[in-house]
Amino acid sequence: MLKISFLCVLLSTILTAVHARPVSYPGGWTVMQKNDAVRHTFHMHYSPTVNQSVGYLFEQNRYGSELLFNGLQYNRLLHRRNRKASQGNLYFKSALGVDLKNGNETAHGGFLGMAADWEDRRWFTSYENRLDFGPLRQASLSHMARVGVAPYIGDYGDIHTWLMLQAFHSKDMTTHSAILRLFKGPYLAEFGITTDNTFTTNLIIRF
Amino acid sequence: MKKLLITLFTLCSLPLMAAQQHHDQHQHNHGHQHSAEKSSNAGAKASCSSNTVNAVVNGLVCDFCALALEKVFLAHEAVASINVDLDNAMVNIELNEGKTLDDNTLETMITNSGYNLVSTSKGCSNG
Repeated sequence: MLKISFLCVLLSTILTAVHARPVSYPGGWTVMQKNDAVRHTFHMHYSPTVNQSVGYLFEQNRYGSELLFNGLQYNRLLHRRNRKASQGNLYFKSALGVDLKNGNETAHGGFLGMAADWEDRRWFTSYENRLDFGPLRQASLSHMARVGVAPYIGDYGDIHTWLMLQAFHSKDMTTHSAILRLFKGPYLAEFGITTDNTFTTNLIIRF
Repeated sequence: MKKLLITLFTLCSLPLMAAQQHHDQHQHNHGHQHSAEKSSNAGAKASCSSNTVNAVVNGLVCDFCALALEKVFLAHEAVASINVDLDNAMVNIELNEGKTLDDNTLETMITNSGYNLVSTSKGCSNG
C-alpha cells in the first residue's frame, strides 16, 4: 500500500498537473491563503485576461532563518488543452519584491517557476517547480507534485471532495502530505497533514 | 508517520465512496432531471425557451470553470441568465427579450473564458 502511494506521487511528477490555477477569468479576482510545511503565503491576484494575472504576494518561511517577502507576482498561462472531459494547463510564475531576513536585513528577492496540471472530474495531477533568487535566500530549485482522486462526482454547486497526496522536495527538506480538498462554487479549502508533523490549511476564494 | 497518513487517507475515502454509491443510485433514479436541478441551484437559472442558446463546451471540469462562464456571460447585455451543466458539458444561455447572440460572439466569449466551443443549438435542450 505504501509503495503504491509513493508510486502515485512519482507518477504525478511525471504526468504533471495543478495546485490551484494561478489565473482566473477576465476581470476576476482570486485570494489565496496557504499554510504548509514550507511557508505561510498570502496571494491576491487580478486577471485582466484569461491568460495572465498580476497581484500581491506575501510569504513567511516556516523553517530555517526567518524570512519575510513582500512583492508582486505575475503568472501567465502558456498553454491550455481543453478536452471533452479534461483540461491541462502549463503556466509560468514569477515574483519580485523585498526580502526581510531576521527583522533587520533587506534585499531584493523573488522566484521563477513553471507549473503544470491535468485534471478531469475524477483524477487530478499537478507539478510545479520554483527557482528562488536573491542575496538573502539560497538560490535553490524546489519541486512539488500532487495526485488526487474525487471519490464521487458532483455537479456545479455541489460540495466536491478530493483526496490528495503531495510530495515536496528542496535542497533542505523532503515532505509528503495527505490532503483533503473541499470545493464548492467560488470556495476551495484544503486540510492536510505532513510527514514532519506540520499541518496544511489552504483557502482560495475567487470572485 | 507515513503509515498513519495512508491509514487516515483510506479511512477518509470509505464514507466518501459510500456517498458516491448513493449519489450514483440517485442519478440513476432521476436521470437528467436531477442534473438540471443541481445546475440551477448553483448559477442563475436559465429557463428553456425559443430564446435559449445551448453550447457544448470542452474543458469544463470544475466549479471554477462554471464560475468563469457565468461571470463572462452575465456581463453581456444580451444575456439574461446562464446555466452550466458539468455532467453534460453543456451551457444553456437565456437571452433577453429581443436580443441575439451570434455564433462568432458566443465562441469568442467562451474562448475568452478559457474554454473551447464544440457546437451550438437553439431552443430547448435536454442536455
